[in-house]
Amino acid sequence: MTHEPPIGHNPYPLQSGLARLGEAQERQAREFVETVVRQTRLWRRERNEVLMELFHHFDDGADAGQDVDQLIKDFGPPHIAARLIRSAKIRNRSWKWHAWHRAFQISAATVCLMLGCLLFLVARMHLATLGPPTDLVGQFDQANSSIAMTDRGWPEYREGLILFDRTLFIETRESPGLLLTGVPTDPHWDRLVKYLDGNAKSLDLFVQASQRPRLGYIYRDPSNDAWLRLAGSRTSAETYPVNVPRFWILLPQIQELNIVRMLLNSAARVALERKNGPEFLRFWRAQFGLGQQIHAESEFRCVDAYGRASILDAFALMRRIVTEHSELLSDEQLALFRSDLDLVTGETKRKTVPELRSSFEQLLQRSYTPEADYGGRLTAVGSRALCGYLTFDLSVDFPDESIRRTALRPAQEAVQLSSNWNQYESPRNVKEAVNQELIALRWSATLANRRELRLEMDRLLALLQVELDQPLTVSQDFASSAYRQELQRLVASPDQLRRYWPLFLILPGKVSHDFEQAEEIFMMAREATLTTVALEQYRRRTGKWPEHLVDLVPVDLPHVPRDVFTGRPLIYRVVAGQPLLYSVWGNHQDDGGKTLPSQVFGYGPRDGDFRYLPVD
Amino acid sequence: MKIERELMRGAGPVAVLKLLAGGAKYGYELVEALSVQTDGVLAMGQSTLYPMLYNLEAQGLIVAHWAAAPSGRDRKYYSLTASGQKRLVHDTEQWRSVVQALQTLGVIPAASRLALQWEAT
Repeated sequence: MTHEPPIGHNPYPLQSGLARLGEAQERQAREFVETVVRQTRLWRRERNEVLMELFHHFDDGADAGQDVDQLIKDFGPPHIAARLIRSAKIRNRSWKWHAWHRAFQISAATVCLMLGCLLFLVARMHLATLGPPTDLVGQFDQANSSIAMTDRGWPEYREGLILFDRTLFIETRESPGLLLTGVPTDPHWDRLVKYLDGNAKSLDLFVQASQRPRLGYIYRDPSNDAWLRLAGSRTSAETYPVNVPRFWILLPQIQELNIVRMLLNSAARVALERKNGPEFLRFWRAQFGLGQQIHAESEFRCVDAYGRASILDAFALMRRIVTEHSELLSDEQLALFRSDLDLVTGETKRKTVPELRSSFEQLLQRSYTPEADYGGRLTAVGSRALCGYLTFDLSVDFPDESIRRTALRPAQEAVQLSSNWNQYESPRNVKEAVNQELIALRWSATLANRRELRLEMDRLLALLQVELDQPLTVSQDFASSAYRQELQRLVASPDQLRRYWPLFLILPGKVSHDFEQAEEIFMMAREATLTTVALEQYRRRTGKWPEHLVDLVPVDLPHVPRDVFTGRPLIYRVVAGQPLLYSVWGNHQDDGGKTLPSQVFGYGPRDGDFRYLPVD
Repeated sequence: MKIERELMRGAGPVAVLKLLAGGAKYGYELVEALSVQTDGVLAMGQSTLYPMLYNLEAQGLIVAHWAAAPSGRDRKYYSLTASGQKRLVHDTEQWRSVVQALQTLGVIPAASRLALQWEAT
């Protein structure tokens, strides 16, 4: 260990040999030594010590008769000396200093590495751009544009909707459904009758429109703008901009056509109340035609549901008039009903999986680069879109979708933006913008790429398809399904959850067979309605109700109607002189024909039975 | 004759240790001794010597202390530690082996052995 010179010691010798060489040479030596010492960039104490030693060295040289120039020459290059002295002196420092220095170096290197990764992620994400978007709206419009104008019902529906008096709903603040589903005993009935009479022109247009073979709705048709404004929507150009990839599509026409359905249904029931058979038949056929148009043209499950609802509503009305007001119908009109029922085909459209896949493709297209780009990377735009989707979903309650909620929770917690942040999918303030950037970086580092997401989606959809293809005669035990178990496995693994959580934006947490199997239930309702007409025809011919359904075959029915939940005939018997006809429904048990109030057209709980006759 | 840097890097420390084995010395004294006693073969600039001294000090082979010279000025003297003594013995053995090997190969003539006797004392 070096013994340091006394504190306050003058680094330059008092009896300097250099001084004897003259002031100029002493200054030259001093400046040289100071230059070397300054370049060492050591601590002050270390520099003083080196300075003193080197100056003594020059002093000793002067004592030995050497001049300063020779001493400087013998010393060697000052920058090399400074570098060597620095490294040697640093080696002399304490082990504590070396430990701290090494820790600092590791920390600095780690920080630099992290900053490098961060910069890489930022650059990668912001340089990534979305691929060319698929124009979903354009595809729909192209398909419908090929329909001849004379075959399209929508222009007349639209005209009727423009003429349609909306003030009643605004003034009374009542929903259309509440007013239009009234029955003669309701306090609103008289107002409904008056209201329908006041909108006779619209109803006539609806009836005309329903006779066209197709609906033919064009999303980007500027002719819709006047009606869209009346319906409280933006114009078609504003709502459906070209080349903008979307997660969703607005369907204002469906909401409005549902009002048309309810208006036609109400008009038919008013005609029934007035005991006006031909008028009833006119409105009934219009409602039936509207349902057929929507059912034939729908690309979405929810739209299909509206079409089916319209037809099922018409079925129920037919059963009611046939059994309760048969005196209003001639034999020819009964035959006409049967021919209308024959128009309802048994075509089964499986829409759940294709629709989920389409939605997922839209999501990927809005979030990722094309697959050719390293499998498809998350873009900054895509991150904002996902944030918007998540904040939107935050406001939605999923009481039966525990898996989905569990799956989305980490991503939702990562977002933590204001609940209305998604309105324009852009941050509203600096804090949200910063949050969004950080979230985007985190997601870009952990999310699976586009190809991996699609492969996983396809795998899960294949499992879901098997689940949905189960016949109704099999008990639906979703808890033990392979699809559900696979979802649970993904959710249970934090790593898998981080990689694949966008799947849960699309995939249902709980399989709903309602939409997928509604077609079979729908066709069963058709069979039941056809049976109702057949029962009436049998009664008119024999003067009594048949004891068994098989008695209708083959004169009044080609075959006995089957319960899709059991594969056996629908349950039929005559009770108190009236026919009772029902399905055992989803619990596969005969509950005596008791229909639960929550049973609506085959959607919802499947407890209890579903009664077709008598009509509730 | 100027010695190659790599050779000097190996020979320099052992030469300094050997000089200090004879008693404490200050920097200029070591420079002079190396130059005179080796006929300038192992002479080294101060830019090499002082860092070498600091490194030997860091390794615990030598120790430095300030003391007043007869002239009255303070000087920094370096002296050998016990570890330095051991290292000197070890390095001397190493160099002897090198020289013998080189003699065996005929790189160094046998007569030169006499010139190496100085280190034996």
